[in-house]
Amino acid sequence: MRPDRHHNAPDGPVARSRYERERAARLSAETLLEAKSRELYEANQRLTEQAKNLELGIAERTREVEEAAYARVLAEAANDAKSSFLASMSHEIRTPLHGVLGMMSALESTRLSSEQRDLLEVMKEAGYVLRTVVNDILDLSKVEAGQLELSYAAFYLPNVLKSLKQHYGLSAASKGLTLMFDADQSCDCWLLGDEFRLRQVFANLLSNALKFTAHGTIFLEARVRQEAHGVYCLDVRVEDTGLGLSNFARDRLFKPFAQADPKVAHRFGGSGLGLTITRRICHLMGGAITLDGEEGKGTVAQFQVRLKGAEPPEARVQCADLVGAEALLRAQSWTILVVDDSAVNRKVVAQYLKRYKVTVLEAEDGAQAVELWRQVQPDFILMDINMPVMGGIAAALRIREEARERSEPRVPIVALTANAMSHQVNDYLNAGLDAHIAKPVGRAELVRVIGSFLSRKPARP
Amino acid sequence: MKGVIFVELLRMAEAHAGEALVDEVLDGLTLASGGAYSGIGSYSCGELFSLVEAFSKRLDMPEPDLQKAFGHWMFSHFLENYGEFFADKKTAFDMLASIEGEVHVEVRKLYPDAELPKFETYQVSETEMTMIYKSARPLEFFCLGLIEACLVHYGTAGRITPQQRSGDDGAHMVFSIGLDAA
Repeated sequence: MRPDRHHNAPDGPVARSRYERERAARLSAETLLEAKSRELYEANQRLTEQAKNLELGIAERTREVEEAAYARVLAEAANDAKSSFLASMSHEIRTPLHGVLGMMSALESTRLSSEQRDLLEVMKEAGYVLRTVVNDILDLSKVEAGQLELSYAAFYLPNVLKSLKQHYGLSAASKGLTLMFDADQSCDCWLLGDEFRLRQVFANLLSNALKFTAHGTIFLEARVRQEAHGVYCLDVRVEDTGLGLSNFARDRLFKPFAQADPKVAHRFGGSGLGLTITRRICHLMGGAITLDGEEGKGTVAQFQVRLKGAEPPEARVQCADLVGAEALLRAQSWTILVVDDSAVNRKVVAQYLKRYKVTVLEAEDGAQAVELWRQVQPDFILMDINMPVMGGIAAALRIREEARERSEPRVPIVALTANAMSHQVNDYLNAGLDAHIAKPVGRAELVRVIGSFLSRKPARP
Repeated sequence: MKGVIFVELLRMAEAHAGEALVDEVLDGLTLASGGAYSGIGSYSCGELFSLVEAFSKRLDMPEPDLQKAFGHWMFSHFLENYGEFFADKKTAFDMLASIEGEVHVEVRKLYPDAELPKFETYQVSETEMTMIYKSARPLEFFCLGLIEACLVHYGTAGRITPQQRSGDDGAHMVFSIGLDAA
């Protein structure tokens, strides 16, 4: 039988005991509800308190995060300020240094007593060290600002190796060391990349090897491997029989301003920036660099960089050698226009070129340069970029445009400036400049560049 | 034990046998609560068994039958007051399977101190289910009544075979539920 829930209770009076029970039940229910509602109220109070504390906590945390972010911004700004100070100081130092080195070079070709010549030699040595340090600092500030960029141009790897061998071979011989290069057939190739930066990597390892080796041999091995998608991996090993490295030194060497041993700084000099920059360059070129070797048993430095292959430019004369360029400059008379607002800089170039059959014309700004170009049609223009009245880029654009209108031959224009950031260099090339040389420039480099352009030119009637 | 069980037991007794009989039974027992139960209170479990025993005698109805009838009564109470639990269950097995993991979870939220029985269900096939009931209190026939009412509610005919498994205190019962093929 299913119970009937709606069975009616009989009408009529209710028993006293039932009434008492119902009342007792109601009272106990009320007491329970009262306690429950107090519990609820208290729980609610606690919750409100917790919510308040939570909000305070969040506000506190937010404040801390904001403070940390602010502190970071300050620290970054300070670091940026340091980097930009270093960069601008280096730039400011480079320009007068260019003048000093140039004048020393010029002084060398004057009549000097042997004592004066010795003094000049020391001055030159010191000047070149200073130039390296300034360049390193400028490069490091670019590394720290993430602004070390690569430019891309085709270059012939054997030329790079040949000139390194020439340059460092002399230094090695003067220290009584043997410098051996082993570059096999695989290195006979054209590559697309930043030749200047690649040379810097080689130069850093070779100059370190020379610096820290007193007796024996420095051995450089280079190999090129073809990888997928037209990429070539250049593998280089530089071994010496010098001081070698302690474990401690190996860890420290890639850090900026660190040298293996503080004593080294006194004994051998150097800014301690070279490897930091070198490593960054290797990374940018898709490679790496490692140092190995035991203390007292020589050092083995190895690096790889990855570069695209390049077609050999047809018209390009592989003018790596100074002798050829000098011969060309002596073979016939040339007119070279030097554009620079600094009289010292113009004078440096004029001094460099004095020994050749070169007529140097000078212009103080872009407007004068355009005017002189119209009148004289020089064989080559060396153009500063930042100048009053009209800058180098505007002048180059004007010259290119007018030459096109009048169908005149294209004159080589090469920028000579202290603004050596890659993106700036790319701007120059886009504006119709043919190449870029960073100040301060040495005579040999300047002559090589001029020679490489003039050799493509049909001789003047 | 939650007061709602006591209140509903008395309501069922009143519905069946009238207030006078219920009053008589209550007056005849010595209960700590004095028989004054409210739905929101909690009372000693022993009082429930005293009441069941007394009603059984007074109505001349075996205790298992009374427990079972109370199971049916409580099922109707649950259905009327907590319809939301039934709304999304399509079959009696769905409902039975949801007691432990769903209904009891909600009960514990409201009454953290509630001592609830354990229901394990194993559905063997579409028409067979094994339900294991474990409780500190011997209310297995009350449980049987609830299962029966559940089948009735879902319009499912079937057999429920209870099997005692107890050795220790309380109840341990296995219900084998077989539904008639549709």
